[in-house]
Amino acid sequence: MSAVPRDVLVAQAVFDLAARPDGFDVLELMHDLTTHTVRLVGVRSAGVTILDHDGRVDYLTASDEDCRRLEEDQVELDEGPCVDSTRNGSLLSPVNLHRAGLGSQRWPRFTPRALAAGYSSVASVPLRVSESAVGAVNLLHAGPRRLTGVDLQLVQVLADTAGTRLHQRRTLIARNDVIAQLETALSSRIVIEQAKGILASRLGTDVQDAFVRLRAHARSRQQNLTDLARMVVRGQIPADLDRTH
Amino acid sequence: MARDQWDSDSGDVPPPRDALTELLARARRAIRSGYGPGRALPSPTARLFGVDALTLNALTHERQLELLWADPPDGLGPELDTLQYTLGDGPTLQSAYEGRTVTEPDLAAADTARWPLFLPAAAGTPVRAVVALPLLLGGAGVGVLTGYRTTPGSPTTRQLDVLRDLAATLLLFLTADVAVQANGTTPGTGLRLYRAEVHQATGYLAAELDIPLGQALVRLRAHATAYDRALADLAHAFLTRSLAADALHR
Repeated sequence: MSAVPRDVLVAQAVFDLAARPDGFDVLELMHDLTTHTVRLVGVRSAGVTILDHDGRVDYLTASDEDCRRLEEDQVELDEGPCVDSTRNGSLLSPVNLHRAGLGSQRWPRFTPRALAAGYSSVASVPLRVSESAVGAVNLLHAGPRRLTGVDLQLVQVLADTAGTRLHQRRTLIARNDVIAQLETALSSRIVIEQAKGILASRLGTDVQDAFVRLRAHARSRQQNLTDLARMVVRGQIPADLDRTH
Repeated sequence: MARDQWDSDSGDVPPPRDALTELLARARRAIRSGYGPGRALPSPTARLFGVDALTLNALTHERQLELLWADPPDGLGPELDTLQYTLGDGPTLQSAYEGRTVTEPDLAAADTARWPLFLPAAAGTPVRAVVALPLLLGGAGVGVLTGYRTTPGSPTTRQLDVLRDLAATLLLFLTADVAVQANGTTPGTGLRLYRAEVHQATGYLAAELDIPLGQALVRLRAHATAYDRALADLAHAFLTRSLAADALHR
C-alpha cells in the first residue's frame, strides 16, 4: 500500500503534538490538539475539558468561540456530553442531537443550545495520561457526514500523543503532576482571553480573528502562546500585532 | 532566620504542607458555598502561613483598596492597612498598582525612598518585614494579600508558595459574584466570571479606554450591577460593538 497525501498530514499532526520543546505551553498543546482534530476529522469544532482538583469539570480550550461558549454552557448547566465524558473518562460514541433523538433525552437543556448553534452530533474520546483519564476531547459536528468509529480512533491517537507528551513533561518537572499543570493552564486561559480582547480592540477585529493572529504570531516565531499573551496584557504588543504602530 | 521562624511556628519538620492543602481545600468549598474568608478561614490563620498578620484588600472601581478581611481581626494588620490607606503609600498599594509580589525583609534597614511616608510611620509599630501578593485574574489585579511579620527575614520559597495558594483561594472569594449572592438565589460561585467573554471584554475595554485590566473588570462588574444586566451579556454587547466602550464611563 502506497502513501497518500492524507497519511502525511496525519503523521505531521502526530509529530507536531509529540515534538514539543522542554517546558512547552500546556494550553497551546491542547489547543493544537483541537485544531488538528478539526482539520483531520472534518468536524466543525473540538474542545478539551478536564476535571479540576475539586473534581469539577472545567473547559481548557476550544477550536473556536462557538465551541467554547457551548463548553461553558455545559459547565454552567452541569449537563452535556463534555461533562459526562469528562466525568466517566470513557469514549462517547457519536450521538445525534436532533430533537426526537437520544440527545434531547439525555441532555434536555444542552441539546437545544447546541442545535441553535448549528451542531448536529457530538462525540468524545478520553484524554489519557499514563492510562488514567484526566479529561475529554469533545467533537461537535455539523453537516451530513456521520462520524465513524475510525474517526474516533484517529482522534484517540492524537489525544494519546498529547497525553504522552504531558506525561513526559511531568517527569521533567519533578514536583508538579499533570493535574497541577492543567490547573495552571486554567489560569493562563484567562490571560489568553484578555489578550484576545486587547487585540480585538487594537486590530479592530472580532476575538476569533484576534486569536488567529495571536496563534500565528507565536507559531511563526516559535514563541510560547501564553508568554506572548502575557506580554500583550502587560502592554508589550509586538509591532506586527498592533495596527497602531 | 525566616526558616527558623516558620518551623517554630508550625511544629516539626517536615512542614505541614498537606495540612495547609487540606485547610485551603476546605476554605475553597466554604467560599464556593457563599461564606466569606472570616468563616472559611477561622482565626488564627496568619501564623499557619508563617506571618503574624494577614490582610486581604480588594480593588474598588474608584481605584481604591478596601480592607475585606484581616487575621487576627484587630491589631497589626488593620493598623498597618489604615496607615497605608491614609498615607497613600506602602507595599500593599505598590503591589496593587504594579501587579507583582512586593517583599521587604527588613523594614528598619530599607531605603526611605522606597516608601517615604509609610516607612517612618511603620517604624513606630512592631512590624519588621512584609510581603504583599497581588490577586491576579489573568493579567487583571483585583486585590492584594499582605503578610506582616514582627521579625525581619525574607520569606522562604515554600512560605511564598503557601501564601500564593492562600491568595489563589482568596481570589475565589473576590471573584464570587456579589450580585448573585444578594439575590439569595444561588451562592456566589463566581460562575459569571467564568465566562471567557467577560475576560475578553476586560481586555477589550482596557485597550479601548486605556485603563488597567483590573479597573476594566471592576467597572464592567459595577456597570452590570448598576444596570441590572447579566455580566456575560454586557461583555458580549461590548465585544460585538453593539454597546460603545465609553458607555462604561457613564
